[in-house]
Amino acid sequence: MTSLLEAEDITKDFHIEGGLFRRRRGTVRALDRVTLALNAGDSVGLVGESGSGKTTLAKILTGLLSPDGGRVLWEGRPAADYSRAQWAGHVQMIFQDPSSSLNPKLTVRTLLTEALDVKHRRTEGRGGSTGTLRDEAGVLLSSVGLSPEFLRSYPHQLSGGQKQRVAIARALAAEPRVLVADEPVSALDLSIQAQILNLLLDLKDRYSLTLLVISHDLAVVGYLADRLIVMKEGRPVEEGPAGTVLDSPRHDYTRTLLAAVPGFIR
Amino acid sequence: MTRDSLVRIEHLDIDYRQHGVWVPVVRDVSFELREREMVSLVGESGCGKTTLALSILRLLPERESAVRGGRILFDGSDVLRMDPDGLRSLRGGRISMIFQDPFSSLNPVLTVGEQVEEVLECHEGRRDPARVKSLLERVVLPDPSRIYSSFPHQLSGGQRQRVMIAMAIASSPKLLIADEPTTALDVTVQKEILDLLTRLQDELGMSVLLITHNLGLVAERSHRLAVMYSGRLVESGETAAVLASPRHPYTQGLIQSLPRIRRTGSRLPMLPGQPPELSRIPSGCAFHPRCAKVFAPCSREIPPLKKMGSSPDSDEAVACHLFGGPAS
Ligand SMILES: Nc1ncnc2c1ncn2[C@@H]1O[C@H](COP(=O)(O)OP(=O)(O)OP(=O)(O)O)[C@@H](O)[C@H]1O
Ligand SMILES: Nc1ncnc2c1ncn2[C@@H]1O[C@H](COP(=O)(O)OP(=O)(O)OP(=O)(O)O)[C@@H](O)[C@H]1O
Ligand SMILES: [Mg+2]
Ligand SMILES: [Mg+2]
Repeated sequence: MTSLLEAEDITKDFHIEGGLFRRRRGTVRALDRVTLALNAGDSVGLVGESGSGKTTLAKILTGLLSPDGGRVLWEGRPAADYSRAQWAGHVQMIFQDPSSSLNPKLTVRTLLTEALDVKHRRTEGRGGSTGTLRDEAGVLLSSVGLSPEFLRSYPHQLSGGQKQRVAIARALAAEPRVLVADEPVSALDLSIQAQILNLLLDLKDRYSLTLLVISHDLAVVGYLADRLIVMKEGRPVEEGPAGTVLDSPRHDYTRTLLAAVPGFIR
Repeated sequence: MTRDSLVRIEHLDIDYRQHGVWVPVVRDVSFELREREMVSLVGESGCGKTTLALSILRLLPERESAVRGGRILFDGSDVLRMDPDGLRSLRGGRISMIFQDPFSSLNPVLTVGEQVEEVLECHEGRRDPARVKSLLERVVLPDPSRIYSSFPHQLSGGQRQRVMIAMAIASSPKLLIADEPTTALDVTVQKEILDLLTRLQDELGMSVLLITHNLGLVAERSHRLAVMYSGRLVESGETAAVLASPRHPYTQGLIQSLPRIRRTGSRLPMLPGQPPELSRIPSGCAFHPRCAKVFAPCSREIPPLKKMGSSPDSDEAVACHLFGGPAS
């Protein structure tokens, strides 16, 4: 069976330049021959040290960065066979840093209706009516715990957690098959974390949304993911069913992570 | 142990202008931060934590916000009446802030090294690349020489956050305001950073105001905990005491919704409902529409923050009609 989304043998290097002639100061191998397959309805958790390449992998899957080696496949066909609009319906990403992903000049309403409109064009061949888009934007906002009042706000008028939720709503607006969520709830307080995690589980159950969740918080990945991948220095060092990895971690990093979780959360 | 007060906030009221209308964001907040103390501030998204922190530095957006009343004393001087010179010395070193949003507070066209060096130069009057690198090492950044010559966009989320922390401690501040400083870091690095801050508290006599939703982080380090709801302080006290026996139904709900590591198969418990919109804050106790223990006075009167506990110097206080006692 071919997988929905596959990363095959992906390598990515970044070069750091400096000085007068922009000489190369060094190269970082952010990803070193990483292979990953997501089947429809999968929910995979990606954990690993800061700098281990998680966001880089996410951006490659979303089509925002191109790999230096290896390829990305959708239903067995290379990413290059699809248009940008098609890919937007395949994979959407929630960014680790929400404010840099929200255009400061647009209101929340515009941010959401743009994404909704793209979805209507893709699924129905034409854009949604103003009324439909407005209603849908309101529904999306309330699903992430924000009142429709925020439709009129600009990003700078929102608190950190409110921005993060607008970013989540916008990613969901496109109704992607795969959602890559990079630290989706780390900026949110616990009661809203719970609401977002429950929402993602509902979408997974109802629409068999495929999830790749990046988090440094084992409680979050343990809650959402069936399968866990642990990365270190650009490569996966441990992989398996979430329960197995959490109950009997094999890699040192996974063990250290688990041991460091404060007792009253475990 | 009694310590001298470093920051004292008295009955602070702050409004924002939203779509042409002024709405209350911070209401009647009184609060004290003592020397060498770490106090954590928690509360739901949008309850006013960042706003409160920004007001201590007078960094609120000028035309969109207004302080309606109250006082903010830092080291005895009134921040709200401070002249430009006073403000400059405040922001230029005596108080540092780690902003919630590391991207927008780093300069995109300067390398990390140049930015940290600038802070050091302001503070010590000379440039010293070796000190910059040792600062980068102190915040547990691997490969400090690479980080030194990188631009902010070339760093991972967690690396950026640690650069922010390095910049904030570079000026050896008296007060460090850390707004969600470790959201992108795993527990092991979080611990090292908190260890570092704790050491700096002793070395520099620094106080820390830690804004976080991470109760695990709070539990281990901070001396006191303050809980905000819809612009008001609803509970405060010694951290361990509040976490072990929270009094306010809101604090109780907050602690219950903590995701545990093992999945239970069911949905996570949530506080029912949403925090109120600023333009429509409920009468009486703002939490009453979501509270399971609501009774007659809740929708009528705003409960004052009352001192709890038997000893006179107890720090515990709660703003809830379920608890009697003299107003503090
Ligand atoms: N544009 C870039 N130019 C140069 N180096 C980069 C760039 N983007 C990322 N890197 C480097 O590549 C490595 C992997 O970064 P990445 O953002 O994928 O890490 P991450 O696992 O998401 O970490 P975190 O948990 O801190 O967000 C890091 O060492 C980072 O400094
Ligand atoms: N510039 C602004 N103009 C109008 N309203 C604003 C502005 N900045 C913030 N607000 C509103 O004020 C309220 C408090 O915001 P604040 O950033 O202090 O919240 P917070 O407690 O830090 O939340 P979070 O945990 O999500 O960061 C929010 O409801 C927000 O929408
Ligand atoms: Mg990342
Ligand atoms: Mg905030």
